[in-house]
Amino acid sequence: MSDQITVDELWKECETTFEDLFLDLKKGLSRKRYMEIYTKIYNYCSSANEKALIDFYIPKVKVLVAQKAIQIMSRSESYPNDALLLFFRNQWNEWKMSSSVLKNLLSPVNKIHSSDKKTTNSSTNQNESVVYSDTLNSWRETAFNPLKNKLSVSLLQIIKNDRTGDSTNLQVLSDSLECYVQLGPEKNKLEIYQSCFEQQFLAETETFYKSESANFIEKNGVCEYMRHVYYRIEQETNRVNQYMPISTLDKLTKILNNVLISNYKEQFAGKFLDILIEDKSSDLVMMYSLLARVNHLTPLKNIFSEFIKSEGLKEIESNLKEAQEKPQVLISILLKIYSRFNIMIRECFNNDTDFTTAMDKSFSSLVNENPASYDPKKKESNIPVVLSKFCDQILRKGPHHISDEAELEKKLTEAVCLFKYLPDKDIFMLNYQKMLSKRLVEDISASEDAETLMINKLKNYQGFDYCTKLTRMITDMRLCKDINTNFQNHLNEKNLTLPYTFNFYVLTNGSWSLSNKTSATPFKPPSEMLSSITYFESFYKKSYQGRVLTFLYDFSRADVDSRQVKGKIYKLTTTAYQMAILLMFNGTDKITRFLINDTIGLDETSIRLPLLALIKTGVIESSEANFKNWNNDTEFTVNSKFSSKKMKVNCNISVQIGESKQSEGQQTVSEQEIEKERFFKLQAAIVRIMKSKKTMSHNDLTVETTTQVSKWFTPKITAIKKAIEYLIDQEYIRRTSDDNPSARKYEYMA
Amino acid sequence: MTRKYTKKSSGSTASTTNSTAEIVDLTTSTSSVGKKRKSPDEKLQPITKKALNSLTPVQIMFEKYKDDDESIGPEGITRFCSDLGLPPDSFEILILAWTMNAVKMGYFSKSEFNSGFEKLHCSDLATLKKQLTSSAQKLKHDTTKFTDLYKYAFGFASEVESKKSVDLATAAEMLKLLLPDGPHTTNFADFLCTQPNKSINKDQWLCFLEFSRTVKADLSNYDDSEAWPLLLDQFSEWVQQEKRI
Repeated sequence: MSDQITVDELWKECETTFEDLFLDLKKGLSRKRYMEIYTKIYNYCSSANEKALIDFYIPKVKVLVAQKAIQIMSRSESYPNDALLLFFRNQWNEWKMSSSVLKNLLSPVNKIHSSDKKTTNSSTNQNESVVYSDTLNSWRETAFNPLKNKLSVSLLQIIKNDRTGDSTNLQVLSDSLECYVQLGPEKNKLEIYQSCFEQQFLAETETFYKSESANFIEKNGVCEYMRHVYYRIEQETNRVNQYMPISTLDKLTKILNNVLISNYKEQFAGKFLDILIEDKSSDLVMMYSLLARVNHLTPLKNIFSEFIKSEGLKEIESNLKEAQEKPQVLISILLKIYSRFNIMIRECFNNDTDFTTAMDKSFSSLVNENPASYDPKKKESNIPVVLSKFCDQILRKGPHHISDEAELEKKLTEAVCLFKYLPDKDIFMLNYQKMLSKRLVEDISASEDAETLMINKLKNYQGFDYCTKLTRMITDMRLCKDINTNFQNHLNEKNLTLPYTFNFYVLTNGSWSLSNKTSATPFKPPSEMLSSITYFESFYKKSYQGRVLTFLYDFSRADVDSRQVKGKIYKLTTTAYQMAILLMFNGTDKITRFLINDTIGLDETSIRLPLLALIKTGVIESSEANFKNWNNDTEFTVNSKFSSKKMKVNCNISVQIGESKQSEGQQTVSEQEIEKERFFKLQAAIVRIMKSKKTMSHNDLTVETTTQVSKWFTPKITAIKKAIEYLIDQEYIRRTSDDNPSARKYEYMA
Repeated sequence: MTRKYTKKSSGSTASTTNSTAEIVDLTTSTSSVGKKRKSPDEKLQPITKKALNSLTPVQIMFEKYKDDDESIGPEGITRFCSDLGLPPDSFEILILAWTMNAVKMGYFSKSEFNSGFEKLHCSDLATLKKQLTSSAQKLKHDTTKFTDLYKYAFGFASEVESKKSVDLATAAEMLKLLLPDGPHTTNFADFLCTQPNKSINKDQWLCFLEFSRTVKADLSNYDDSEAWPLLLDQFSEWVQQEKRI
């Protein structure tokens, strides 16, 4: 080519431009000039020999760069310490810029150089421009190394200023530290930064905060201190994020956690109870988040757990009498505690599962062992009964029923919340079932929808089979409506009329815990009832063949019009037995006990309760006040002076017989009934297990049985043994006769 | 055995002296075992009024003690035992009952009586006594057979139709008879008397044998988490409470 130049000419062409580039960057490099130089270099590179470039041209560039560095830094001597850093930073920024322009200009050379490198096997990174690394090297040797100590001191001062409120020069910090990193060796870019700055920085930080924290906490107390620490940690973290290499963050955090928190963690935890008592949620959040950083939450968790229990107990004890008597009071206290601490966990403790577990534990002991429901003698809590009564009260017609649907649902949901904490869910269920029976049979349930809603809630939590009986009961009630309509149609078809309005409930045996109390002699329904009963029986047996009807007179209710007082008609709500007694007075004013027994059929003991209740309401009178002295000749008369404010009188009221108050149908399920039920459940579980496993060791059977019944209650080992022994006795299972006692098992006997 | 039964037997001990002559008489005849068919015949003839030539010696014996046509009752057994020279509440008599497979305590039916003698290959009281004494010795070392006897004793002692339970006092007496040297027998018998339940069931009965065989006298290797019946858990608790170890 015609304009082929020598390497010497090329260098001459470049030299001044390069000098200006480093010494006077502000003057700039025009695009035209840049292109000229670049083209020359490019052209030379694409044609001339490489050796000349490498042996002559590149060394020339290197020498020039080194000289320029010296020239620049010679000016530094005139700057005092403070200004020195600023000068350094500015020069560095320019130097960086110059170096990168140079790098771009020399990129054609670089390509050759690097391809050459492959053969000469140099250690420099192939992607890195050789000249660029040389410019950095020059800068490190000439500018950085002599000044580095002074620079670091100034940088630490910037940070110190920032900590004490003067946040200027943070950008200088950032740029300078970037230089530290840039100058690091290729293998470990952070080496220089770490050895020349980070070490001192961390040490300085530790010293600074050691003294600051000690002073601060002493002066301002734990709560203020926590807030301060929170602010400090945020400030330090932000500084690293914005201005410093991010790798420093972990190391810094460790030091901060240690100096600011760990050193004071006992003091923090010691203050926790006070904050709980003061109920300052912001401080709780603060303490949780700080102690979470140093993994010191166990003491908080324990204090929290104790606190829940003591708060609950305090609340219950201050309302003890009411809480013992009224299910509503105890349940609402428990719910208040529950929601208060649940909210606390959510809002202050980040929904920490450890805290939830701790709360579950202490709340469960509060539910089950509080003085309002726990009987220390029996070592038993009647909370399952209390809770079922609570449900009963809000689901039945009456003062506690909540008509607002959403509000009622909320209450029911809360009841299920507490239900979760019951260890013996069978007791709740048996009582719930009994009360539901009563609500349905006596037609005092406030809403069928609400009943179904609650059953579904229980079902969702405890499973389908837990609620089968309840579901069956609701179904029965629905079917009853049809049955009664069909019965009415049947009567119409046959041209029959009943003397009185009758409504029959047909209930599946076994799903309802209802049975007549035993009387030595059976009840004889009065003629007024009898025809209706006979009609119904024949209708039902025809419609549902093979079914047996048992009439539960104990649970029958009647409305009786009383004209015992002249000019007034009282509407009496009575039991079937009471009605039968009252009907006897239609012919006469005076009847003997013997006649009553004879007519009604019930034995002497069974007749007491309906009579006593009638006497208590004032409808009838007796010649003998004390029922213990009643005999066959005792007379009962109609009270012609009976008066009541209400025209509707309920005669089915509870009366005192002996020690206990009694009414027809005990409200709660007795211990014996529960024991019986449990014994059945255990037997059933054992037979089920043995039937499928055939043989099983004692331990395995015990464990498996416990699991199977755990949905209902936690069985005692002795109860399981009792059931096993019963089944051995009944020859459902037997012990295998192994010579080695420990290998002995139970075996299912088909 | 029941207390009732024990009383009767103690009453009958007096009568043993009366019948000594007979026993001596019988033992002399043991030398002629081979002639067993004849010799008892001769001896029993004077006792029975009717001609018993057609009966076997065992049948004759049965006739002697029977209460009615089909069985020997408590009174007959008492006489039988005293003639045999063994108390009715002895281990040997229990073995006899077991061999006969007697269903009910205090009674031997005709067929039980016959089969018992047949199994023991003897037809006179002296041989029988010898047999029983040696059986008693052997049984102490034969666990399997002893277990059979022990199992049998439960049904034998049971006074209920179902044979599923034995009242506690009877059980206690029976255990003393069966396991006189058992490490727990005395304590357990005392313990049973403190129990509110009236009876013990078969499982508890069988487990006690196992218990006596495996659990040390000081109960140090007793583990109530094992399959032992509750009664034995309660027993071990009772022993500790009463400081009987």
